[in-house]
Amino acid sequence: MTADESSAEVEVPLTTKPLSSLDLLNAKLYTWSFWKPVMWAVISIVLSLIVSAVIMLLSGYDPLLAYRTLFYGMIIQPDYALYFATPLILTGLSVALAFKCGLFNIGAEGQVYMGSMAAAIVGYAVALPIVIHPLTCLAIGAIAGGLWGFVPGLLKAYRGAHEVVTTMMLSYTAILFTQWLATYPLREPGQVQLTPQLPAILPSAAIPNVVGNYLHWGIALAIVSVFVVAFILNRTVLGYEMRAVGFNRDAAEYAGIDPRRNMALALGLSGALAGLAGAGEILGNYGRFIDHWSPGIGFDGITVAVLGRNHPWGTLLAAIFFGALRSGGTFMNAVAHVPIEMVGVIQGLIVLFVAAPRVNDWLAKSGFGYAIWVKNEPKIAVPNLAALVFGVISSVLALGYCTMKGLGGMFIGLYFLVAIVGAVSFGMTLSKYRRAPFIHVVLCMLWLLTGAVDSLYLGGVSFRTAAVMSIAGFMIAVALFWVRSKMIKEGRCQP
Amino acid sequence: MMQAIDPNLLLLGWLIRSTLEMSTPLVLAALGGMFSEKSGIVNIGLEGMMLMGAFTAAAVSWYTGNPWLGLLGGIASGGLLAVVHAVACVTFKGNQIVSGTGVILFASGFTTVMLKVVWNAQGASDPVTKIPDVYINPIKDVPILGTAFGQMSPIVYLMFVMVALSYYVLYRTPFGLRVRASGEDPSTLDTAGVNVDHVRFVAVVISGCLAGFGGSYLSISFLGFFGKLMTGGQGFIALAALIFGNWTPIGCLLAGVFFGFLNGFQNTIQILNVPELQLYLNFVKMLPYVLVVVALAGIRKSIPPKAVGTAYEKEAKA
Amino acid sequence: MSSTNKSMTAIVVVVIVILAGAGAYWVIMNPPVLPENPYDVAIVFATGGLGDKSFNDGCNKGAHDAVVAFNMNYTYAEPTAISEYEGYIRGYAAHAQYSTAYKLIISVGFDQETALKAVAKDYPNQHFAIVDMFIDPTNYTNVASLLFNENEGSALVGAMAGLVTTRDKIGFVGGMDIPLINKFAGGYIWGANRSNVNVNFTIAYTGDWVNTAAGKSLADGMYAAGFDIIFAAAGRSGLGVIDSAKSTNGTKAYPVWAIGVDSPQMDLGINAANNLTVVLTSMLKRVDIAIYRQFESVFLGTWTGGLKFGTVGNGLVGYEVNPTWVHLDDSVYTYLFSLENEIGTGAVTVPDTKYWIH
Repeated sequence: MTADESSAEVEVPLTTKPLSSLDLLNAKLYTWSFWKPVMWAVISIVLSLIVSAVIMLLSGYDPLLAYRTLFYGMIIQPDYALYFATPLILTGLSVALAFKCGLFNIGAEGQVYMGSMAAAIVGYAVALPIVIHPLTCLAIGAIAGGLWGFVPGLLKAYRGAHEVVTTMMLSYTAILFTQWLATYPLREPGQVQLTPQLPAILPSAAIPNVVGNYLHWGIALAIVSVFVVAFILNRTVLGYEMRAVGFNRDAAEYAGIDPRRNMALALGLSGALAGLAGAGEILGNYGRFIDHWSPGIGFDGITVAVLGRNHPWGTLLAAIFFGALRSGGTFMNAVAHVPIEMVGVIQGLIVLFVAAPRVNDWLAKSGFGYAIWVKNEPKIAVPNLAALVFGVISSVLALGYCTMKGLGGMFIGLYFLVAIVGAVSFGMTLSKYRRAPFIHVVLCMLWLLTGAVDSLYLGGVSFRTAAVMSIAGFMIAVALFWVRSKMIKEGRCQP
Repeated sequence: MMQAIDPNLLLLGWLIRSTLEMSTPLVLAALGGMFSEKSGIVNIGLEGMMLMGAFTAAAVSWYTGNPWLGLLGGIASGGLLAVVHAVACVTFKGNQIVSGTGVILFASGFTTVMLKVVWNAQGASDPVTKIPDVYINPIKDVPILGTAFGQMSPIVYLMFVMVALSYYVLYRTPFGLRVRASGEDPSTLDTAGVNVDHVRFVAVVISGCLAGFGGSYLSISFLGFFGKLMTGGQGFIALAALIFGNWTPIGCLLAGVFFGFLNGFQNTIQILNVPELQLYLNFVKMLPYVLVVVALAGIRKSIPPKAVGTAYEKEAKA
Repeated sequence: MSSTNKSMTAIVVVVIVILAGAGAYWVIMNPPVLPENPYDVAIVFATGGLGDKSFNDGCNKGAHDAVVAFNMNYTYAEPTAISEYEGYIRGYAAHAQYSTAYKLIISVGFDQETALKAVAKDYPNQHFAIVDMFIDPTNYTNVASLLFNENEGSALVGAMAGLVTTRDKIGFVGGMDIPLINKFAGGYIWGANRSNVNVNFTIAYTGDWVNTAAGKSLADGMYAAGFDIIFAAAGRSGLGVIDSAKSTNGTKAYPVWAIGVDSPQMDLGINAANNLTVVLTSMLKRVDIAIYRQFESVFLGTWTGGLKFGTVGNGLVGYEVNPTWVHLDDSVYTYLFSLENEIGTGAVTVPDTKYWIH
């Protein structure tokens, strides 16, 4: 992925006259290497929405209603979306920055907790004037988070300890440590709540709201951080060195860059950003440290950075998108009662699709392949495509019946079989396996069988569907075998 | 008769039992992680695969009433999720850690949604049929031994079998040799005419099956229901056990048992009811994590497979 | 820069713009239908969500009963994180998708305090209720706080444990070492000591409300160490304790029991073979009745804000009895009945802390 990343960088022509950033942006907008990742991201989102829709169908929710309320919820409350996006921007930047140096900061959550705890302590225990107080808290929070990131950075640089493991382990350590602080030494006296918590921060330390009821000035901090990180990465020696180390550590070392120093610094800075996210949330939103307060913003930072292709600006957009998804998700839950975890499923799928960019290449290639096939040999291609679609529809329908309540075990088993055979038929037709038509016929027979069993024993719950499916299936089968015999005659297919 | 036995001795027996019980999912998942990492694919998605296994096992056991079918279902679903991981990072050479993260996110969301669909519950499922425990009656009344081994889940014993089997497969079969070679030196393996991607794909799927096995243990053997996000980070501890155990089956076993012991130990402290110690329990809970960091920091040299984390690209044919 | 690249870019841009435009058009032109508010009450559950077999489910049951009794309707939201509370509460208070307001918005759980206060201040005419949290009734006249004296109910189940234990050793598994949970522990131990002066006890915490494995592990250990009754006040982690009682029962010379919390949980411990349960009783916090009464007062138009205490005296705190699942001596019930009377009339006061530690 790092190699992909760096090759996607724009080649800046060496000129004596310095280019303005506007020129650079203009040049960038006309490159395929800029648009390709954007397209990947968009395609991944669309694909994951499609898969999620199938999951919703199978679990008995109406995907159309869900998406309608989701998207409506995403756009009617922009401030609410930004409220969710604020910490995600910072944790996303944190992960992205480390990634630029070839490091994976999977434990941003722990840095978030350390930062928030430090900020909360300064917030309630130290009296400072307004404006200075929140700034001090933020700084202390960033330092605490930074130290928590710097330790694995040092271990990675000088002891070779893999940062994925150390940051993750230190993340759990941080959560347990802050929990201990909140339960025993620093607990709010006389506290009656079910969760351990610290005393509330002083009013002078609170970050006020920008507008409305949710969005606090942390958003400005987050956007400034985007500028700063973009500047560090693209315009400073440090950023250049970090990227060089991330691109190829050995080459960087050969060129006289100290990879160790840069790695440690990168994880330290990354931790500081995560700590800032935690501190901002405590001061602007929660008003005190509460045990287990974070809804996983550190972990979500990974998804944000992944979708944002580890570019600061991409991270900003991705964070706003995920924030909107979350605010839309609450609307969806309140109106359509679709569990908000569905948003988590969508997020996970997006990450999976983005993780393997070549899936999209492959899809595009085979998509074009099929388009050309249909154009050149419509008589052969169309029945095959029909069988392909038939396989998918069979699978989905049968799985849907599987999850219906109150059916007998045998019936569920039968439909499960149909679903599996449907999937196999799809796979075989897709790979143009020569025996695929036979599997297709088996599928049709199974539909016929389920229809018969249904009408005999179950009173025709799915009789009509099964009948229609088997008739359609057999029609496709006739076409398939006709095509097949023709191909065998032409010697293009083995019998 | 019973009164004569010091309760602390009884607790000692229980500590042995608890250690074995709590270490079983860790060891199984760690073994899974080992197969994957030995073949060169990082699998941080263990947590997600365990969760998927736990959910499917409970669901199948609930639908069919047969926990053994549930166990099969759990193993299969873990493997199925591993197929997704394998497709993403073996077939399509995607980033292994990103894909693992995606697997975890997907599994957490999916199992929670399905918990609602299957049981109309958001926190915990209805009780499901459990795998019956194995009773060793002759030793039932022996003081410590009886508490320790008198009643135990068969999966705990199976876990030891799996460790032995993994050792055998990895070090005594051609397949094991290929797995290790594809993690250490994939290009040589490729030159020898073996399809590296094929080996890795199978190893990742085995990894998912074992993680699903560990997850199933939680939901249909240790407990008798599925709870939302019930693995609670055990997949990550398994990853730690894998590293702490130096990527070997025996190491995974020892590390897993050690972490299981730490868990039982902090429970024992609690039951002994020493309020002064209770204040510092969180530090006992931290021990596995801190120990792994310390171990990685170089108290003991850990040797990961050389090619782990990188997709294998064939040299261009042209 | 080649011209194909340029035209490709142009095509991509145009396609994206058209897709986005069409999508936005579709969404804006087809807003979800906004009818008159079909609901009378909205409930924002605690982060555990429905299906916790305890707190949220209890609220849901009360609401359900009220729906049947008064022909009312309610809607609900299940937040997954503290940061979502305010959005939901405010969303209901603003009733953006309906033309009319909700007659009552119920927040379940202490941790909605901050969010509820913020919204209640902005919507002084909207009625709110919060379960399990004290909200200052002089500053927030539009909020009803539904509180429970859990220590009184815990004392009753503790007394029962003291009478039923055959080994004079009882255990307590709490969620966290915090005052609210120690209120349960204090009442429990006090009750057990009152009915049985010889009783020994141990107290442990799972450290987590959702860690069922930890609950089971702790309970296994307690049973192994000879404790025969365990009261679980640990949220979902408590389900692990019941599970442990199920698998331990029958392996010892004496019966072992678990005690459930908040909702009736005796059915969770039923052994299908003999239709007996291992859950001796449950400390009942009748959130369902409290919620039901909220609905009732909305229906009758008699709703008022302020503090509403649930006590043993008014029947909102108690214990579960089911003679078909658990066979107990009548003397146990007689003792409990008299203790219930003493607590209900205020003749004795139940401590609400771990009173034995100073």
